[in-house]
Amino acid sequence: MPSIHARRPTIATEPKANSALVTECVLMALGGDPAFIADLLGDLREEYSYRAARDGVNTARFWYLREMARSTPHLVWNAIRHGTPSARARLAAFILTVVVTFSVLTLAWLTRNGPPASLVVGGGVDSDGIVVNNLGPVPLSMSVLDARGRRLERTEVRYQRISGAPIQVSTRGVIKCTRPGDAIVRASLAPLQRDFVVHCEPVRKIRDAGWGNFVVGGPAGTFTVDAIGLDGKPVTRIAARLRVEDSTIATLDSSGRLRPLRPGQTWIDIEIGDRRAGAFVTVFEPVRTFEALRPDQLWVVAPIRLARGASIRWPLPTGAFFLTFSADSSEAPPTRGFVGLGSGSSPTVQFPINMSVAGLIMCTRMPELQPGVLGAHCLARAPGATLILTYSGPGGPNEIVGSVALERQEQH
Amino acid sequence: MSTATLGALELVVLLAVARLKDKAYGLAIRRDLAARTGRDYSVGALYTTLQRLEDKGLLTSRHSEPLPVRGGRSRRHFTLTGAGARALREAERHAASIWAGIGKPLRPRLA
Repeated sequence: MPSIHARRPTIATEPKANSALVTECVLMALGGDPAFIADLLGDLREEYSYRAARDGVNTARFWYLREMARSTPHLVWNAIRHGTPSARARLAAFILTVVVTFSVLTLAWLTRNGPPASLVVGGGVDSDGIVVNNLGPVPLSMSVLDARGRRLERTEVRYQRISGAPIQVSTRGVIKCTRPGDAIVRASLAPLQRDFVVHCEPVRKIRDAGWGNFVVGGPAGTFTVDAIGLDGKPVTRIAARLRVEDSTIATLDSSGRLRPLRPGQTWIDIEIGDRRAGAFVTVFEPVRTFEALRPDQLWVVAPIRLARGASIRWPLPTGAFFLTFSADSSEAPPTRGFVGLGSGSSPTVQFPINMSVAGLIMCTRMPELQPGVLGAHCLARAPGATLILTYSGPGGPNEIVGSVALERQEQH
Repeated sequence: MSTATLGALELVVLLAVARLKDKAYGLAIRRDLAARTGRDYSVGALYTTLQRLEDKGLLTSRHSEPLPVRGGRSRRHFTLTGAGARALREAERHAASIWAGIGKPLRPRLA
């Protein structure tokens, strides 16, 4: 075993001298006091040699690096105190470079991606697989995540149909559903593997989604869409994408419930597979009557309750507007809200309601509306126009409960 | 020189220089401080303090002959100046006045 003294000059002192010389040059270039730097580094070198002989080179190196790190603030302070203005500028630039480099490296390290750890089925998912409503080819949505859950941009995932309906699946994961059926598909990215079910439910068309009326502060309603399959029957399993054009008027949650927020009209885009459709939604502001409406009150609805033989007279605003009376079903409990005119919620009972107008106003009846719903497009040329609603019987309930909506056309 | 301008590290460094006499150079002072205070002061902190004490006129320094080894360096030796000695005496008096009136059970025995 070599003696301590034999190791000392060759292993410990000589290799360190070069790096110390470089350190000294750098420190002096940064404006430190040469005597201060020479004394400090000289002591470090001497102590390093002593420790290398006593504790070994690695321990001494660790000590040297630790001492340099601990002495750095003092070296910087010395350079600030004793350096020239140009040396201080160099020092500032050096510190800035070190800080920026350190920050960038830290950020890069923190945001680095790890190796693939899991394959996750992406959009169009129900509880046990992917729903495909497309008729044309569509890429499967599969995400590759690392161990920290970060999405990796990988394209090497390979796909293969394992069993089930004979659907076409390319190795790149492009799927084509030519008929309804379920198949099990395997996604592989060595060493990961994931089997999942593909539900092929191609949609031939979306039945007209129509339109819906809602009231601010009223209950949210479920937005239902009918999709028709290749066999002409409704498709039960659909992965629809609904998007509200103006989400300040109404919002849609993930379960398809529409929540009215403020008066206005907006459009809902419906996308199922490669088919698209739309629906018009109007949100009304609840008012007691149409008297003294402000110019900005464009969509309003008022509840009415009419006993047999009774009538009401309400003043109407000037300008062009749509007027709609809608009666609640006599079987349903009376509601003060406005009954939706969309699919599935309209009244079916015929009532002998007479809706008329008086004054300088001209209306055109809209006959295509459903039973129990009266509609008219009106133009009131001067103040003083009046709406008259009369429940004249005979037959039907003793009292009619419903609402009258007024939809003003904006003045341009 | 008032002790108000003498920090804790400055005081222990001055005392180490006074104790080591003509052997007072950086590493020796550092080892002396480590042995007596149990604290491992960094070389940078020590030299910053030594330089500050020199600037205050409490220490003076000279370079020794190069060490008798290949590439041997010249060590910087520090010596207490008259002002340094006065500062130490004043620090001692100051400490004594601070400790005055403290009973023996509380007062540690000073070496």
